[in-house]
Amino acid sequence: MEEDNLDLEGMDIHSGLDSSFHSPPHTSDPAGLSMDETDDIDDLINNVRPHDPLGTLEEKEADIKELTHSWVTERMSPTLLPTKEALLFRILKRVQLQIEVIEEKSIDMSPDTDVKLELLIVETELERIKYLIRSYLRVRLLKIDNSMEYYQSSPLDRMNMSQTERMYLNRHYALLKNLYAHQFMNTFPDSLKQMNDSSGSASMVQEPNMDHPVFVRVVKDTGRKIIIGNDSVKLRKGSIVVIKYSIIVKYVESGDVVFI
Amino acid sequence: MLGDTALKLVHDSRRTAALDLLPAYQEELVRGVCREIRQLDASINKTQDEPGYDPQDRVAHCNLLVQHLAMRRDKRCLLAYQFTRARRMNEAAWKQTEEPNLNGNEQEYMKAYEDLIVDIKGPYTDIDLTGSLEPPNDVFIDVRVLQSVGEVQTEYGVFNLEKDSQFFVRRSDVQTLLLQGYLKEI
Repeated sequence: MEEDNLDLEGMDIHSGLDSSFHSPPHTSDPAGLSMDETDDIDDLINNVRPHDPLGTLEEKEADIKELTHSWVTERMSPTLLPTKEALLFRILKRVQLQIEVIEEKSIDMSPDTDVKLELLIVETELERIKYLIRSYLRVRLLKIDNSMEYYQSSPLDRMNMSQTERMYLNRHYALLKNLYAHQFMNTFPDSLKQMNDSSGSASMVQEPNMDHPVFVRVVKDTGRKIIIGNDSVKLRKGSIVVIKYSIIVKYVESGDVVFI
Repeated sequence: MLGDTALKLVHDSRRTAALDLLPAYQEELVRGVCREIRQLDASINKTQDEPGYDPQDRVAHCNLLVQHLAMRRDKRCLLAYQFTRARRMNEAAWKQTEEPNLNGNEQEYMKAYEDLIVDIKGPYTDIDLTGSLEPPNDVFIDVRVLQSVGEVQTEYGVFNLEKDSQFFVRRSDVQTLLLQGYLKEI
């Protein structure tokens, strides 16, 4: 009996240590990542610690490539794509470090003009990265804004959002509902007071337009043919096609075509 | 005719798209549409409550259907009208500009939305979510001072912004002064 207790206590101490080890990155987590994702990042960071705590050069470059790709894809697709939280978290960390480096270097302003030029190049690149992230996040928020009722009632789409984005949706939707209520909804008969009423002739829900035309480039030779009515489009590698999003979306997901 | 007032709201929204600022809120029209909705609802209830009402009667059925559709159309127009305005208020809140022609409820909405933007910016302080959505070109620019500002502290030291002087500065450091017209890019 006593031994059992001792064992349990031992385990408690262990798990206590474990959670305190994990909590600092979790509480300072700016992007609202789940525990699993932060663990992944920790593992990743630990693996490469001997060289650079923020990843090897190849990893950093791959991340920037992925960010650029995600940004283009997010801007082109009418619906919200799965969030790239883990990627953003890694890049934001590096951005933060880069800003610190710039601040340090610009304080010890030596007459050496090479430092100035170096800083100028670093800052230009940094501004570009910051622009990519900002534009990426704002495009997502705009998509949420334009179809708030739709996203509110679509659990599948909500899974594509980060925690911050879900918070944003909930709060913004509440504000809009409140505005509608005070401007006119309160005077409506009860049967009309629903916000997400999509039955009948005039749907009250603004949905993303899945038939929005998009430009894509075929990057893999699949030999597939898409048939639209009497027309057909063959997906040949290298060709560029304008097509409805709803038709091409599965090839975007499989990576056979990319947005341009 | 049914739906005429609502159509005027739609035209107003259409016109708004071409304007730089939101026009005044169409209080009268909105109230008119709400009144029409209540009248239609009352009329529907009255028909259904009449002693001789027969749900199988095709004429009565058609009459009810038209009134239902008109009511829903009215509601859709109101939502579209207000959403158009809300979207412009959102844009203004992100750009930190003013919309002078809002009614009381709209002012409250915009203020609350501005608070929400402040909160959503929090996790991304290094990025500045309210920053420009134009791709950056020059990080550093030459500016001429049009109106004396006094001393401005930046990471590259202190600038004394006297009228007619010129400086090579970081764009993001002087963005606000540029917008306010104190400085001019050259």
